[in-house]
Amino acid sequence: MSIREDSEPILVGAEPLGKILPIDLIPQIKNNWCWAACAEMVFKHRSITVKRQCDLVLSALSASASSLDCCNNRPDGPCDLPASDKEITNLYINKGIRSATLVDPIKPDEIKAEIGRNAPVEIGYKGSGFGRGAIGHVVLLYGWQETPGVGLSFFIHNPLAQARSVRADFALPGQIDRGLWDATWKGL
Amino acid sequence: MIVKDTLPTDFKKTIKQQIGYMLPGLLHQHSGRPKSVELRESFLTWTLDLNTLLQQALDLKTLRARMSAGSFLPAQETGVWHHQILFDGEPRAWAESEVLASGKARVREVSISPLAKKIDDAIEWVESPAREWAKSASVHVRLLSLPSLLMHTFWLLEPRNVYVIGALPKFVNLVERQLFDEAAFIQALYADLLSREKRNR
Repeated sequence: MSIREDSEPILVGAEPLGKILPIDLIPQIKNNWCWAACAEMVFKHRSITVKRQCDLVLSALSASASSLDCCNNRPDGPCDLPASDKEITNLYINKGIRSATLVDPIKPDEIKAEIGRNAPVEIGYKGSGFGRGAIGHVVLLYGWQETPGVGLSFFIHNPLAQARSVRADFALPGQIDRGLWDATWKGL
Repeated sequence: MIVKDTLPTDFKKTIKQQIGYMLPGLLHQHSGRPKSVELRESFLTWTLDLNTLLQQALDLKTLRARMSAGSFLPAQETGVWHHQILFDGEPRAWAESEVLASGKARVREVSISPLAKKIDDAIEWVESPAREWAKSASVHVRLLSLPSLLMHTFWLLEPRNVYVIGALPKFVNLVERQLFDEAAFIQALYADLLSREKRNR
């Protein structure tokens, strides 16, 4: 007996009502660079020149990484560093997005308003469990749609190579991936 | 014989319809529409409540002893179904659905993600005739997930093993395509979680 199942066709619907920003997914190059990949997506969208993800890391973590070779091809290494919320905010401001603001989780209407003015929204969350072992991650919300029978859903790029459509009433009560949504960057 | 939980047939129509509604916006930016989109395997998901686990088993030794004495991995059924989705015959996406209090099924997320291929590969691996359980009377396969850690595993009952399908690349002990016994799995999970820094992204 097999756990394989027969395929059943899915009929894909028409283009729904909503707004999706033309932002392509850029995966994170190193294990801890979700924040750098999100920043690269934002800068590309804003036509701010960034040569490489590693250059963003160097400019964001200049104090701790200035003497490191962040642009080598090793999968890990001393430059594979996470960023604090403050370092993420400063990265945007220092690269010219002076409106970048770090806030608490925001409501669906605020997200739609941000997308409406062509600004993606960066969401930070941490995995639940083990207190001091909490693991942080950031993703980029780049669109929304309203569909009959489904309602409001959001489009999210996860730098760990996922593009997803998440139903709003599931995503927004403070949970993403069943982790705790604890930070939002708007004005991007 | 390898078995898994079966999605009630009357949910399938609703689930396929809602996935079809949620896909266009995603496909918009992903090399156009595939010629065919299909629903394939569905798995009822299980999870570990890490906080409860920590409270109940502060001492890893005790937890290991308890599990060696016959207690099962402290996992809970979530009521959430994972669905594999094929684009032009290839596993490229997945969806999650849940059953509401009204008894109706609702899709809450659709993702285009390498996880679909990883799960497909894991099905191949589990069903390989070379596996030791191929000759067992019955092996129940459950999808055990910790979404906040991007961790997905096949929990195999009766060998009482856990096969890691995907995990945070930050993890060094719980790595993909490795088979653990239940106690070793918990130990590796503790080790990876406790080595992390607080609040960093």
